[in-house]
Amino acid sequence: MSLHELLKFQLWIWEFKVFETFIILSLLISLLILILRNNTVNYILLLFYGVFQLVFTFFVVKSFFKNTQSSSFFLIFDSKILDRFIYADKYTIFFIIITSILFFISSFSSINKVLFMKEKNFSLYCAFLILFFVSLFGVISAQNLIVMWVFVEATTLTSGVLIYQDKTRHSLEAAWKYLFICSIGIALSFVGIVFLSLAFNTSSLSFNDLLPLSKKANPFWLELGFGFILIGFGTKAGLAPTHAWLPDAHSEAPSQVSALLSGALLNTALLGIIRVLNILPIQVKNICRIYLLIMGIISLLVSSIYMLKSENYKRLLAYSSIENLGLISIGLSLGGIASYSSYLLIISHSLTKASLFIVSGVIKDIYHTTETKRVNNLLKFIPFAASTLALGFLSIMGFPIFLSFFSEIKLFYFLITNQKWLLLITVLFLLLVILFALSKNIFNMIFAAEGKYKASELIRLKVKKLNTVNNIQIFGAFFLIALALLLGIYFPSQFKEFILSLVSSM
Amino acid sequence: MIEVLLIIFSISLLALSLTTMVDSYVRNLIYQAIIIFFITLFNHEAKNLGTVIFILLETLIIKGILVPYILFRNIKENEIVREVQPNTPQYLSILLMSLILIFGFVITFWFNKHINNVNSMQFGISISTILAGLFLILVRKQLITHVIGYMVIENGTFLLSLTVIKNLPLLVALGISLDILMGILLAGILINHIKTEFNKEEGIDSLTSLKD
Repeated sequence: MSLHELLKFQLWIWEFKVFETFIILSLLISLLILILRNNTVNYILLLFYGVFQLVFTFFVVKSFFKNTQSSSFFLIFDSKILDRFIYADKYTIFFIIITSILFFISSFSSINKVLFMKEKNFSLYCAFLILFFVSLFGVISAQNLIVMWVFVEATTLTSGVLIYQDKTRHSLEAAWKYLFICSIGIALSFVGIVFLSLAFNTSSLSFNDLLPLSKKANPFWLELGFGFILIGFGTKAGLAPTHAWLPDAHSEAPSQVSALLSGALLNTALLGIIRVLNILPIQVKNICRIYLLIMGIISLLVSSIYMLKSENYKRLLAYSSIENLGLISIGLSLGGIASYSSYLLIISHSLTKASLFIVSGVIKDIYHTTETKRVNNLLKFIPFAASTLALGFLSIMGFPIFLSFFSEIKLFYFLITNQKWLLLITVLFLLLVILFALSKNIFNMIFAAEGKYKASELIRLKVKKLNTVNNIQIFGAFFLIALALLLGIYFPSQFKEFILSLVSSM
Repeated sequence: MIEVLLIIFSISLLALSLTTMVDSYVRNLIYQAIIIFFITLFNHEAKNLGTVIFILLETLIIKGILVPYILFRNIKENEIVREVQPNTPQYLSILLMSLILIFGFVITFWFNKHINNVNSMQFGISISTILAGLFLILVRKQLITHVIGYMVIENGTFLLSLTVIKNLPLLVALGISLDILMGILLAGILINHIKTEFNKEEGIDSLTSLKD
């Protein structure tokens, strides 16, 4: 290490700025939780952290909009080394708001774990939930390809631990598959990053440095590099055909974790693809968009087939995530107003799916099963949860006045005006199949009277005193759905402009 | 000199395809780490000596000592001695591995024609290393050999990044190796749990309970 570098390093050590303080505080809190091993105290600490990160996000967003002119608004992040790698831009702002809200709700609704989990396991759970959030934050705000890669791998490791929290055989298998498949995928995306570096013929892999070089870059290596990155990050984003880990991990993880996986993790992987797509020159971008489109359509197809087959409601929701990510990538690949619809769908899907997973966790707590046919007549037993589930179902399928409705309408409008009839028919048909599969199962759970599988006395007793804990959880879920509904009814024009600015830079 | 090292490296890949003892897989990983150490040593550009020293130490400590230590401990704790059932016959395995190596050399020649200022042989060999890792994962059935296959892929990507990305910032290099180390550690813990949970029937065949 040269003297100069050493000096820089020391400066970095001593100059604790806001961002570094945030990371270090997060690490300290998670360490404290690991040491304390008292469920109530740990839960309070987790809640405190949830509020703390909401406040932090609020300040980041506020300072961003104060200084929208310069790309280096980041007066608050002016440390010596990290400022080149990690700062907030408009994509960061978009994704961090969603992630932050979801994290707050999932930490808040982890309340059922306080009662049922062993001290050791609960402290591990809380600590890794915080670490998971930090790594998500890192992916979202990384402005350098390799730094982003490092954080994506970190999200895999931290969430791998979270998936194995129920300590069952199934969750063990799911965690192994998740860890392994995603690690291989991310290793392949590293190959893609190397190819991109070869194409740009530069050693700095910051997005800002790469953008001006893109015209001179070698198109062959760009395309190859993007292909590998699409496979690698696509694995994390749950795009078919490399989605194999997703249904297993989502169904076996604790439902608060599934909510975060589906609502936040998949988005961040998609953000990686978006960022790489943005630095490509226009000819290469057009080819690469076709790859993204193909992956999107395959995702829709695969999810529709498996949803018809699936008999497990958590897996059903997981396949619905694949479907939504497929729709989002189709929109992103088409550009223009279709991309706009994708961003709307990202918001709507994250809010809705997180809420659905939390409700499904409550149902699992009461019925002790994830088999759809063993869960009946929810509306009679637990009306609050049932109605939240119903609202979530309407939102996920894009019924009118929900945000997803406006998003999907915009996508179809784009397809019609651009006369992409074949794509329109394919998408509509697959969505219809998915609507059928989902409504069949969900309606059965909500309305159907108990048939063959009568709810046992135990469940009836339990349902009677559906305790405050579960009600609190469902309240969190309801809040998210209400948000999706509210945004559908009234979408502020500032939000619209902001999202349009995201689309225009694509 | 680098060419000789690369040839030795590709021989280690062939050895990986032949062996059935789990111990010797891990030993092979140590050899690979040492070879990568020397390749980095001969490859460096003097102007950023700090980074080079760091990468050298990091390869030696993480790839050469810590990861093999974790794997050896795992093997000992779980009493894994031998590859239980090699999925494919030996001759087929070595044939396929040779094909992968030949593919690497084809890439080398093709690469030589088109792109200058990058060591084309190292490029080709690292591509075949990545493929070899994937091949190991596909062919072998034990979980621990899958982890070893993952490490081989990591070695391949490391070699690849050495050829192209000349000066990786220190902090980033540290992040990458920490990620890999934690990944291996976590995989080791999971293998331990799987062993106890699935009654010693370790192997990918026992992990099939989740499906639609």
